[in-house]
Amino acid sequence: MRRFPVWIAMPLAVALLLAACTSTKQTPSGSETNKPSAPNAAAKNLTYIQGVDISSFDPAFVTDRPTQTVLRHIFENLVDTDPATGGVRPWLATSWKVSDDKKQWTFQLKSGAKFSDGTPVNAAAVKATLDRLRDPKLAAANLSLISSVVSVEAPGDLEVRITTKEPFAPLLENLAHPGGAILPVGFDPKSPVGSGPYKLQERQSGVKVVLSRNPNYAGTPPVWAQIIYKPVPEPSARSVALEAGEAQIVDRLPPESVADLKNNSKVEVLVKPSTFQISFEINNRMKPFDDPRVRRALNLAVDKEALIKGLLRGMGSVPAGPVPPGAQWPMQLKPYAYNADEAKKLLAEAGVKPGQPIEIWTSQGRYAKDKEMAEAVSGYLQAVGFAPTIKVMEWGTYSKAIEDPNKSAALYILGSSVPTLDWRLTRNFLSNSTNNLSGYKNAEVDTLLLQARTVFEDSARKDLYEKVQTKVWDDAPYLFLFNQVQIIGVQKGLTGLTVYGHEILDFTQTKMAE
Amino acid sequence: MRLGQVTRHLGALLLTVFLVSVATFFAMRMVPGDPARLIAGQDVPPEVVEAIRVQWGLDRPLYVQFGKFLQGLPSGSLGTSYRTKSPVWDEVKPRLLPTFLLTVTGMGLSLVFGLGAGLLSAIRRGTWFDTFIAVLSTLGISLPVFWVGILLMMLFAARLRWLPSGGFGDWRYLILPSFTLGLGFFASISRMTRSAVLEVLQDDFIRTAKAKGVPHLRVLFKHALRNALLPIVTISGLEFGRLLGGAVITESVFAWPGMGRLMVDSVKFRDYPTVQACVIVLAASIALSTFFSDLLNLSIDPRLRKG
Repeated sequence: MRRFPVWIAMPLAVALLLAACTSTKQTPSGSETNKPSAPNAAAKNLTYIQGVDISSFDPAFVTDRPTQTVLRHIFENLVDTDPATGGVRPWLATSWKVSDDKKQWTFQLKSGAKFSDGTPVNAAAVKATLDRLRDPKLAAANLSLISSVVSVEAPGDLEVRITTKEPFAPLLENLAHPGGAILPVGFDPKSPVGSGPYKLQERQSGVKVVLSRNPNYAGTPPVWAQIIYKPVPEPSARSVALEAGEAQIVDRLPPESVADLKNNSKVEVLVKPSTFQISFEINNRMKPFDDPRVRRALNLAVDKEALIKGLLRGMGSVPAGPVPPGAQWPMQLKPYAYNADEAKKLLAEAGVKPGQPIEIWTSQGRYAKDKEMAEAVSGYLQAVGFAPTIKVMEWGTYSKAIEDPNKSAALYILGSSVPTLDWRLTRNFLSNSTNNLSGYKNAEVDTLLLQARTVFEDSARKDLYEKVQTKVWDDAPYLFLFNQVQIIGVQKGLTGLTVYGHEILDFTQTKMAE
Repeated sequence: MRLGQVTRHLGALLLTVFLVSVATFFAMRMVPGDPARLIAGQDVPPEVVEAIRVQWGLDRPLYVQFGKFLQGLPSGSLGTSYRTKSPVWDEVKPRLLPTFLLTVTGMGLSLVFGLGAGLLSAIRRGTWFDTFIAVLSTLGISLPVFWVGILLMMLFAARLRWLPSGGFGDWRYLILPSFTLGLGFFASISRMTRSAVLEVLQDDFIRTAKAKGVPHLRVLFKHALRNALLPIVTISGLEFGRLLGGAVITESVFAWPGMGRLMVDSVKFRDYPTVQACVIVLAASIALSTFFSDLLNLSIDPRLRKG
């Protein structure tokens, strides 16, 4: 009748469990460099706080901006986006030329560049990277970046030749995408090696990623000894962390905190344009929304200015074209200013009877105040005679549901953040694009988009995209809702931060004033 | 409890965990949403999404996927995370210690303070202290965890700068989240202790003990509290399991790398293998903690041993 001695069993189980867990590097570190309230001015390390944990160290798979920001400091591409011109500038490639038939690109690589493991960045590495990305067996999320490529060759140690099926001018900007980061031969995402200013030092899942200087970096050595990336999912907690001085840079602050932070003399709030434009896409296949007059009426019926002021505390801007500032070659067109009377007139012209049902779909929590936006839009549409209904879905379910071409939604919320115009405009507005979920169709737009791919001169290509933007804006395939802004908090005295429109940050040249 | 009973208990436990994991396998796949699309992102064409689906075997019939899942179970192989592409166990393992630490500290704090406050309230019934604890418990139950957490953080991290606002590191990182997490449970423990002790104090055996001259404190601890403990131990066992996976809000507010957060994120991405692994670990922990609270009750209450 002996009993199991509980006072032995319990602590024993606890000890066993603890022992099972502590064998990783998860043990609480009391590292000196990482004291929470260390003063920033003298810090050698830069701490950057964002909302989500890093998803992967394999550039071929990463599609989220926060991870791409971290990867930008580890890897380099052949070319880089130039935020000033919307074009591209040299990075690992110093120059490039295109053959007469416009199908062959020859890149000259910078000499002396090395990966953090000491191996040289050469044509073989570039070939291996692009062949890996192209390999259908890898099933990389960024595969489509170079789907136009048929072969990659390395005729010289520092010379790379890329051949495309058809002349494809956007290849260059696609190579600047984070997915095109150059990797060493035999790349292993478990111990990622790149040629950027930093290398991966440590990763604690859900806690932090620590980058330290790459000793083999060929460029100007970076200012900070380490970059520490911490995910803090709760927006208001991020703003507290900034006030507590726990990070020099805190990204994606909630609009509600901006007023308070502006009163704090130790921090500064940067509001930057973003390539993220949020719209209610209109189901162009559905009657009566196949009529451009009806779609224009929808755009006029909603007071976007009021929505931005009321729901986003002014943190956003009214769209003035389908391509927002911060993207490649945006255009300032005439915004659809709120005019309910004009909207009613257009609807009457198009024969839309009062009481016309309109089904609105929205995600919840995916975009800033998405559900609230849907509710407000529904109110505005009711005011011009529609009979709206709203369906709210969780993102996972939602993202699947909107892919159905026969969906019952007339309006569904969706954001687009692609900064480069070929990708952004063809995926959304080319009539046979598999990503064109709205079913928008305009033969002229199709011709212009395909023509732009064959034009290798920037200003001529830009002209074509401007024609596309004007036409799309006039056809109003979407109810363009608002342009997002990036709300970034920094400690006062921090300079040199590069903010890309597609919400990627570069810290390499940031400095803290003493 | 006999050794045989223990083995039977553990057998039932294993079966429970297995059934729960099978149920999760099918439940996750019944929820609409496409893991390949969610992980590839919106900007990627369907051809690429399809390639990803093929690579993960998501294009295979459900029974094939289930067969593969069953095959992996005995070896403890739970698959590869769709999102991070590393073995699921590598994702779950680093979350175990933080989850356990937070739950144990949060519960420990609420048990110590809750029992103490409840006992004192019972002895000092009707005094200002009793009222104070009553108010505190009501607040503890009714205030949203989210709000309390942010408030504590604003005071101790931003204003006073005594403690870090969030993250995982040395003991200072543990204080705010465990107080926040423990507040609700403190409230129920203190209320429960108070009423249980008050009830026991009315009983005949207490009067007898007092009459035969047993010292006051001994009556209180040995006789009254011990009897009051039974429901508290049972509740604590259940609560422990609940807090392991259910501390999502506290974990999110304080950027604590716990299982709850991992599980919610994985569900959002339809990362089936990770969800599966989390559920298995949580089911096992809940079953174990209930088992231990049963054992503990046996040692407290001799009446239970006879049966």
